Amino acid sequence: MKDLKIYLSVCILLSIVFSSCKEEPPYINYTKPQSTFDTSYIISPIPAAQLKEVLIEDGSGASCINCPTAAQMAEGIVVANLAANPSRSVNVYTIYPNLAFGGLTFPVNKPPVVSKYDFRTDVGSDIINFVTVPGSIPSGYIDRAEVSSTWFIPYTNWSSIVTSELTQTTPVNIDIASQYNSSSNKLTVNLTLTYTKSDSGNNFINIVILQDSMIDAQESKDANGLYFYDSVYVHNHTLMDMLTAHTGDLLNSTTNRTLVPGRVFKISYEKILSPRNSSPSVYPQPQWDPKHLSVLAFVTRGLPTKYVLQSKKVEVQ
Amino acid sequence: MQLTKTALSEFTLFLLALSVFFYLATLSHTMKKIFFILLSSIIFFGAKSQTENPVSTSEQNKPAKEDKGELTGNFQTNNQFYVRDNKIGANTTQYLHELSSTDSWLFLNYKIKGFNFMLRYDMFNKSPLFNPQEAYSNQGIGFWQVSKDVEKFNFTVGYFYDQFGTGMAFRSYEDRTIGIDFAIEGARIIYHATENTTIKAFTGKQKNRFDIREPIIQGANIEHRIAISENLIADLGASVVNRTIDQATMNTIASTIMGYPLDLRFDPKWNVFVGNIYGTLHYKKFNFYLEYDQKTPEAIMNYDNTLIKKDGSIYYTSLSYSEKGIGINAQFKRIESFPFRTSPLETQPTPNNATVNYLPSLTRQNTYRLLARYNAVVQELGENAAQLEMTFKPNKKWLININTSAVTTLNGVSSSGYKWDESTRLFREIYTDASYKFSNKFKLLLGVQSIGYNQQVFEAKAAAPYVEAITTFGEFTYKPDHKRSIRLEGQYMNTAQDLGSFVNGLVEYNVTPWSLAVGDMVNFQSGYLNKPLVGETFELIHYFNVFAGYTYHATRITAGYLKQPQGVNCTGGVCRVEPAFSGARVTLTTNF
Repeated sequence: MKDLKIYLSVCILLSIVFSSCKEEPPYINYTKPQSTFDTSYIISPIPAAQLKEVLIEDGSGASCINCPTAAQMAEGIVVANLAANPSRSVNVYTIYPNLAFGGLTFPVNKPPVVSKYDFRTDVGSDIINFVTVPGSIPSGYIDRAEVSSTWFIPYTNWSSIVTSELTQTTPVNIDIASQYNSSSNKLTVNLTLTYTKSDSGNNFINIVILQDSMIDAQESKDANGLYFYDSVYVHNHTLMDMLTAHTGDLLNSTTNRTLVPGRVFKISYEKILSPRNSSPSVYPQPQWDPKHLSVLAFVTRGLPTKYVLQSKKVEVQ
Repeated sequence: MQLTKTALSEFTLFLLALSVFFYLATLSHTMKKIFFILLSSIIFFGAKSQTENPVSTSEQNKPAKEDKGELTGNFQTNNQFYVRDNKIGANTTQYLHELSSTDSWLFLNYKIKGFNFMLRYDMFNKSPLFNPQEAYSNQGIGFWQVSKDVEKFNFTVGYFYDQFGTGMAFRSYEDRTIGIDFAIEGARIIYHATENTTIKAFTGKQKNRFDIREPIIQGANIEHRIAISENLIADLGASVVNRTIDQATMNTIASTIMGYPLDLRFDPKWNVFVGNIYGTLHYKKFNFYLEYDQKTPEAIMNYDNTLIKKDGSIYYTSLSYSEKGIGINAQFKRIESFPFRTSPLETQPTPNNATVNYLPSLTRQNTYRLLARYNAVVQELGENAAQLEMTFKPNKKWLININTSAVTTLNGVSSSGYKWDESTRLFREIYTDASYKFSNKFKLLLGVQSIGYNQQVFEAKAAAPYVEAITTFGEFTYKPDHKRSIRLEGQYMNTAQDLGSFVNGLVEYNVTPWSLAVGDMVNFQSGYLNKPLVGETFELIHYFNVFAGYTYHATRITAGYLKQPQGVNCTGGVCRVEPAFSGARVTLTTNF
């Protein structure tokens, strides 16, 4: 009888263990790259290398009191760099992830100040989950460089890391152009990537679509450090969508597409800018505004480094 | 369950220890170091003060003797001094830069009132132990454990070693000789439900040098003995083990998969479960063992170093018979896609890196130097292995051993039968020895071994042909009295493959407490892999060794100068390829 009790207990325990076997797999991209044209060849002579442009990926939220300060910090870095180095940019974009961070990413709901839009995107969450989830926001990645065993960097340290990254060189040149056809609502991005040095492992092309000048509510703080809700905050270079997978599309997908000096990838992407979700229960997504669109392309290494080798941003024409 | 008052207070103490453990989990590495230095000081000085306090005769005569605890331990240090020898390939980093290395372990065990405190301090200086191509230096607390028996329970927190059944579902173990320390850091409960039933459960993470690997491992096991009749007893067991991948590791796996062509991509699993059932039937002089292990689908590293998603299984059975003068044991095992690691990406720097289980080899574990030159590394992605061992002792003078084993790829055994050809053969051995005891002073052993060895698979040498080697060997022992003995051993191995033919001789003289030995292994004929170039002649290569050992009570010191060729080093069926060695080794082990 005692043995029977033991066996029954073990069976119950095992059934509990196995009843929790359903799990959500990680994101694996099974769709073909959305590129409409993709070819690769080698040229000679090898062109000169571009100057390295540094990428700041700013994790932000509408209910995050320090996020406007981080955005100002990023803007300050961009302006200061442009003054010192007019021939190259520091590129910034803002991610509003669908991750809670203690409510910091939620749209503002403090009547009379209430958000008109929900800037959060799933692709933003995917990017952050992929690179490394920070403990809180504002926090960002600078070229996805690993600093002190982590990728996310507090905004107070962005300036020094950007300075350090600007001293790096890049093995790949990015040339990018983008047009929007208002009659077909089609966004086209044409890319030319040219390797001037070899690179090992896998390289990925990432293209994000950004939108500027969206006026909406934002939690912030005044000059005395007291919080307030800004109903006319300007949300710039906000991540709207990606043309590639959030991990990027693999460049050297076949063995003959080696990453050697002279290797050229010519790739085009197209996307119909369909109306975005305008009828959610509370906050609609902001609609496309072609006048304020830009696209940002960057080439990354595969894991474990995730490092951004080069980035380029261009206004949509 | 009714707990006695003492047990309750002891249980409270254990809960306190448990709280300390969980508190420690939140501390930084430096804070942990400080804590353990304090803990070891308390243990050491506590024991010392107890041993130094004189105890009066009247106190000794008290009926209730106080448990003052017991401190035991051991110390081991291995020191190597490297002498570069390009001729045999002894030219790893230690020969070029560091020139020496030290590995040391101090283990302390303090038992008091049913508590068991263990602590081990490890030190590795410029060590090739974990990765033969690397000089690793670090030191600190390598193992600590607090355990307590409370009636039918045993509770353990900290690091622990354990295994379920044969270990094919779960084994946490240490093998210092090949740099394995797969302790689990976590908590474990053992419940002796009845005299015939034991249940275990644990959860934790695997140790990785002085760090831990993030994936969580947890499992449960039950073993039960049933006496069916006077002559028929069944020992039954079952286990389930679960490993959950952490976010960072899964990111790497997902990214790796997304680097593959679309048709090769798959959804990796966060969780993998391994379950097994096993049992032994004891009937008179027969023992019959049967085990089946099943692993749920997960990402595993394939032969071509790419991830695939597959489930796995193992069938293992053995039948043995023994009575006076005869012993027979037959075994069969089939492994299919059964790598079980903390992460499928953890396949470097050695093939057994980060393994959660243990796959035993069904081949003879040879001890003579040339007989142990070729070992069958267990093929976790798939193999069939069979072994037959027989021992005959017709009288007090004769002892005869016969062993034969064969290992094939998965295709070697199928529903259509047995297939042994170039595409399936991995390993085979035919071995026999016979020893004759002339008197209590003289003993002679002679034997022969025939080996077939797939060097391409076992050592990843793409151009290496299948090795066929025949070795004859002998050993003569003369023991004039109980303090002295002389042992001569010799082996002659003939092969046209690998590095060719060798001869090995050793003379060993033991006179208590000394042990002295001198030997030489000579590569006297080249093989396929060391053929001299056109116009060159093959030079004899000597792998000599000189050895001295001294034992004083529980302490043993050894010193030797030796050369050994590159090869597969195995202990207990767990193997790794090691580079050639040339230099001196000094070791000291002591128990207290």
